Amino acid sequence: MRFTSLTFLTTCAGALAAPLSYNRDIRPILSENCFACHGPDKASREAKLRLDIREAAIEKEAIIPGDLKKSDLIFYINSEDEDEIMPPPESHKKLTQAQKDTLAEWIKQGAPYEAHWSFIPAIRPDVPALGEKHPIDNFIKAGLKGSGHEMSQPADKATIDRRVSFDLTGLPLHLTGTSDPDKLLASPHFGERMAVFWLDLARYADTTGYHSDKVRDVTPYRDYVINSFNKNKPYDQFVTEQLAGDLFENPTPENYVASAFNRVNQVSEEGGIQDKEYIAKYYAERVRTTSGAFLGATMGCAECHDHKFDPFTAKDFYSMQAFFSDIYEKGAYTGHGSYNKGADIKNHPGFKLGKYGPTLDVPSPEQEKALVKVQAEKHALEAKTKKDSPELLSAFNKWTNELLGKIVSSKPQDVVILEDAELPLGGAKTVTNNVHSGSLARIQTSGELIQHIVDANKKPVTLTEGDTLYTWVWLDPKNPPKQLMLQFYGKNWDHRAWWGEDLIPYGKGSKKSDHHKVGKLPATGKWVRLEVPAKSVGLPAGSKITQLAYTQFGGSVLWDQAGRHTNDANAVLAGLSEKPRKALLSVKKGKPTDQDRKELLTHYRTIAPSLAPARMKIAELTKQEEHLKTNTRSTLVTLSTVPRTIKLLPRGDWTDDSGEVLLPAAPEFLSSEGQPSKERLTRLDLAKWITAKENPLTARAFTNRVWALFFGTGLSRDLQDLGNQGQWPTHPELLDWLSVEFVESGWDVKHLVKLIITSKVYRQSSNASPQLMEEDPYNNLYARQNPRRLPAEFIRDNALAVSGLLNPQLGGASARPYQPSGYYAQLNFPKRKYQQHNDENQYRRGLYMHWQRSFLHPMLAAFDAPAREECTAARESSNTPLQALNQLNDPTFVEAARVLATELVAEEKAIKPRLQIAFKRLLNRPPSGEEMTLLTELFNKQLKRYKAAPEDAKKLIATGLALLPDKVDPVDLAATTTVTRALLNLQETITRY
Amino acid sequence: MNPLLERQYLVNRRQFFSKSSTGIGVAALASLLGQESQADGAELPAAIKRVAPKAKRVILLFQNGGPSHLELFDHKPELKKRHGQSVPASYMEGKRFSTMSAAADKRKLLSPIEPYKQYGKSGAWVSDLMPYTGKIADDICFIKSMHTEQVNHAPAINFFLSGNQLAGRPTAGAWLSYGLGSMNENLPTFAVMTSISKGTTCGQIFYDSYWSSGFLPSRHQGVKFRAGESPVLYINNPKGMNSKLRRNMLDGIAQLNERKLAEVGDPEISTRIAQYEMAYRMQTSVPELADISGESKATLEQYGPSVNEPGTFARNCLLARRLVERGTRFVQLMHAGWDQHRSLTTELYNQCRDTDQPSAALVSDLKSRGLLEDTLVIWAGEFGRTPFIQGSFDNRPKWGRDHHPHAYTIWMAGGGVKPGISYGASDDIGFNAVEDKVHVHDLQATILHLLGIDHEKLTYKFQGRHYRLTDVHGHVVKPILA
Repeated sequence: MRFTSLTFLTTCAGALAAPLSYNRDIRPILSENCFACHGPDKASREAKLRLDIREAAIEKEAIIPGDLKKSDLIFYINSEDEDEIMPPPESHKKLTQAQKDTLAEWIKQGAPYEAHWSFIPAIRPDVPALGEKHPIDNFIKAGLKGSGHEMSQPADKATIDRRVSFDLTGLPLHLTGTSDPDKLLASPHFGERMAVFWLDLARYADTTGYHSDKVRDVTPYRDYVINSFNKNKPYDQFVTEQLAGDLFENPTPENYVASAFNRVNQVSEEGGIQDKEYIAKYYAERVRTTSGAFLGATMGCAECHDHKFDPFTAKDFYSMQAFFSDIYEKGAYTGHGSYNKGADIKNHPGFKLGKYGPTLDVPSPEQEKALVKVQAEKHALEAKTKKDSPELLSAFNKWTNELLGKIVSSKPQDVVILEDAELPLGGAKTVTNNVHSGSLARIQTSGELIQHIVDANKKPVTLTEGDTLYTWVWLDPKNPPKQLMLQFYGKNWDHRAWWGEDLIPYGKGSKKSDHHKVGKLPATGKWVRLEVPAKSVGLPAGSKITQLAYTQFGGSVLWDQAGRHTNDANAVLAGLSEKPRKALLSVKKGKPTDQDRKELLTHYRTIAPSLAPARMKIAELTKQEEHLKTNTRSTLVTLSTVPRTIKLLPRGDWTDDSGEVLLPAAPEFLSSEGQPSKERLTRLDLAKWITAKENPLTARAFTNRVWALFFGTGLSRDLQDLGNQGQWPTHPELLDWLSVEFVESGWDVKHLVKLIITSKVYRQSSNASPQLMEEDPYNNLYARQNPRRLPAEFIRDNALAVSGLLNPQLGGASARPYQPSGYYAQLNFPKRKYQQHNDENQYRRGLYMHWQRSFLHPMLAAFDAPAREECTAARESSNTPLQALNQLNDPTFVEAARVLATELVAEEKAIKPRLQIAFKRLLNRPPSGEEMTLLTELFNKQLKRYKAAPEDAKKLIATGLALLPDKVDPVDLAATTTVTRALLNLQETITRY
Repeated sequence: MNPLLERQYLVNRRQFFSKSSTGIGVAALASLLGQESQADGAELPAAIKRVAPKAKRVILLFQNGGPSHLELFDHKPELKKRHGQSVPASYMEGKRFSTMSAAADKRKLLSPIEPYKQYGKSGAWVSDLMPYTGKIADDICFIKSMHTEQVNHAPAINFFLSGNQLAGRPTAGAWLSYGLGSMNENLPTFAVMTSISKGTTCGQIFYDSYWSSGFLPSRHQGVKFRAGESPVLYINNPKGMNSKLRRNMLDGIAQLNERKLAEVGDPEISTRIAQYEMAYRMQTSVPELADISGESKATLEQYGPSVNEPGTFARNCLLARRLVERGTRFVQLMHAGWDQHRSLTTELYNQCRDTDQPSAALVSDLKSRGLLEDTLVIWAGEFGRTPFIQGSFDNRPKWGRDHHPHAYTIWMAGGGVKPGISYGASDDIGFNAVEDKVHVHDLQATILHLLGIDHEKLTYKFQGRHYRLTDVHGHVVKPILA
């Protein structure tokens, strides 16, 4: 195998310096024209010949290194016979003479093969000496040699200023106020801009994704990403913290927050799912994300079989899973799922075990301060209430004596629970002509089972020692019932007493307190009292009743007052908790100890009227404390616990236990280190391997993606995959030079960014000449900039920023802007309703928008933001009618237009100066004369129409939450709003040129 | 719109396309230029035309999850007889089973759960689970020898819809939009609706890639319609903006965009202009489309009671008819929930209840309106299910079948397909397609053929390669052509 010898330690020095490079010159020809029938795919292989492996090609004599005459390949590609020529005519493929010559030259040179470019460690190439100061410009110039093209002129200053501001912060120049790269790189908005890119890779979202897609808080992780870019954290450290922050020697809270990277994957709490299946899904997804986000490699295919295009094996896939097997988690977040065997949150002080696994509270600095203050105040007050004063002691003595008096002199009595008011509940019929007490009795008549529930909810009744429960009934002598039942709701309905035959199904069969038989039915034709000791229906002293049910089988019965028969002494004692109760009884007996006094006094302090204000204040402070605690954000974190066993799953089948047990290891073909050693490797080792200077993929993947942020395309066009299925870079030397520079700068992200944007290449105009457009439609030469539609989030940010609505708050909980009603209609378990923010959170940046995976906000979705179910390296840039509808009619944009118009109207009376301001804000240029005329006409037409229908004008300017100024002419504002809407909807507005 | 401006558009678009027409097929160019080259088969450029088109439009009733061919349409008395026996090793020999985890003798055959009956003049065997489909058996053509290359849902669905297992290639609807253009300027050329049966535990996600335009211009991607008051999101104007004012504003936007286009020649601007026009027209046409109050009681009843509930498969079938009536080229309905790993005896009944009657009703409804002749209806999933059991024989409520790519059944109706026939066959236990095998690429080639397109000629160059729906494969299945 050609890959097995490849390790970090092996370099293919000189590969790129050779006169002909297999990767650059030969592979594309063979790949395009030959591999389909003579490549890795066994099923479609012709003549048993494969040309993708040197040995195989030589064995079949297709290639004889150095010998053109004996090489069949040369014969066939040059044949003039239709039946012989390769590629065959029906393939519609044809080699050019230049390609034929290249192949011949290559065979002459010995037909050397190379491993895939991105699997070879990058070596810093020499910068071509073409007279430019900036290395990037020299590389691009080298690529232009012989193309007949040159770099385009720099764009005009206004365009560059607008470009730089958008590219570095995602915000318009109007808000940032500068195009100075250093100032913009130092702005906190730089971190936000970079986070939009990173969060796609990290598949960060606010919800669980699978099934019910519920909300769980991981927003501190999002803020960690923003802050890391702002602090210019070295990229290797950034990677390491996310994969293994929890494994650091003394992890900081920030390290733990970073480790949420491993936990923001989709999880399920669907009833009935299998723990094991979902654990397998989570592990597989983590390997996909880890390889995709950090390595720019797609290992996903290896879940079921060895990779078809890249040398990743299924064993590599599962060995990488094993790195994550120590993560404290469940598969099914239901009662059936279980955490790793032996995992115990008690071993992780400071962490909680939330609904979705371990979490960490992450208070903001303000919250931390407030909490300390509230707690201090509370403790001070509590200490104060514990002090004895003569007034308190005298009141205490008085209270004790009163209680004692009640106990000694008390008599049994009825306490009514239910009277007239509750009887008609549940729509029951009542009578007034035959009642036991009050003015109503309830009548229940039925051939069989009939039941009504009556409510004591408003005044839950606490039972005391020796209580009897009673209800008055009148049985119709002409139509007597067969059975009567009283039911009491304590913590459930299992408290039943019954009289007569055993026909009512509730509790039937039991002889316990949930189905207590009292005796025969009472006499008919008169009011009788049904009585049952509370204890015998399972309601001891201290129990609370909130509801009763009158149940009968057949007949006609009047039901009236219900209550309990009790006595004061019991009531007094029941009102005390165990310790003061015992103490009071000791006092009664005349032998109180000091301890008894203390208990009673302690109790008294909780009810003493003189302490009421202090108690109220304490209650309020407690509430504040709770509020601060519950409003503190928390995040899922990675905790390391007992690793699960990882086996290779044949065909990815989690039910198949036959695979070999695997330990953590890095992909074999890429590593000589990172293989299983005596000590089990950890995620920290994985991070070290990924961020090793020798890893050929990590820096290239990141550099390529950062390049794409500033040009719209990567130097290798496939941002997801640098492997065989990816794209040969347009400028491989430049990519390698940048990657090496990045690593050697100490993985300095801001350095890399600054390097790119200070090049001439970056500052070129994006207007292509027709000839350049024709000859290089995909801009492979980089002889111009690429115009780029803004990403979804920045389209929103721009509209809010130019109108002055944007709330620039950095980080924090997610925001919920306007969203069409019913958009969550299909979200289930439970059903839920979107609650938009009606405060300043309405106007936060797009990256803070609530990210509901299964129903992503339609604005984000329409403009190609991914749902973040999976690691996403590149967004599409679509152009659809749905986008037009969104920008036209989403209240966010209508409101932004209206608020912008309000400012224009306030600042200038005439439309022309208004347009000057608006153009400057949106497009950073003055309007042309033609534009001015066009928009003035539009304004005048709208003005005329709104004058005729001022009510419509008022309606339009009422869109959104933002307040209207007191003195405003609705017609003028509405007409101006139409103009600003038109401007916000321009392609130029949402494009960075 | 002002005719002068209209002309200006065309001039600009022509300029753009002549500038960069290297990557765009002539037919696509013609269609992008709009109504004037109204894509009627007769006017298709010879480059992609092979035969007169039989179909002008397609309704794809896609059944996500892999409906069990053995339970529904592929009648196998032998499978019933051999219930509980092992799969004979010969069925698996030489097949791509290397990745299968267990040997043949561990796979036990499972009898279909419901009996079959013969229907109509054609005598087609259809399961009792699909009585309504049975009744239209003489109008449809079953293909019982379908086979695919993918065994998991998303890859197999992508494969079926786009010819490639990975997301990112244009789907059939997008290819047709690109190749044939629009027949109605007021509605999307390619419309998508999704639904899922109530009580489905294993619902697949509807990925956007299922209606993606891939590397084709994004205007060809499917437009998703939703249930409820606003069938397309943000279709309604803000309050206080009537249609005159809106038109006036849109003209302003168009003129300003035009100016920029003239200045910088960015093709995205011309697309944007077209999209705003389409958005404007949709604001009238979409609410009209979604309003079914004009449908007769008889029609509604035909589709079954759930037609009254927005978002159901039945409602979507009715809307599909309304869309093709109005000239939408490709309507893609996707109904999830057919993944019966452990729910053959339970959830499969829900699936059939929710899809059988509406699918049949759609065919009959199209027929009675004379639309079936040139509308191709396709009922298909991404693969079939294994003849052997998943689960345990003692636990009938959990019986299931696994994914199975080697044989499955689909049906087609109208649009130039022979009615009342059954084409191809699987072996006696429905394991492998054995007779007149039809690969997914063959089906794709056939669909394009019915629309008058040579599948080898409809290509788009991307990343240095000419791509097509059928990749480098596919043969038109001629025996099923009417």
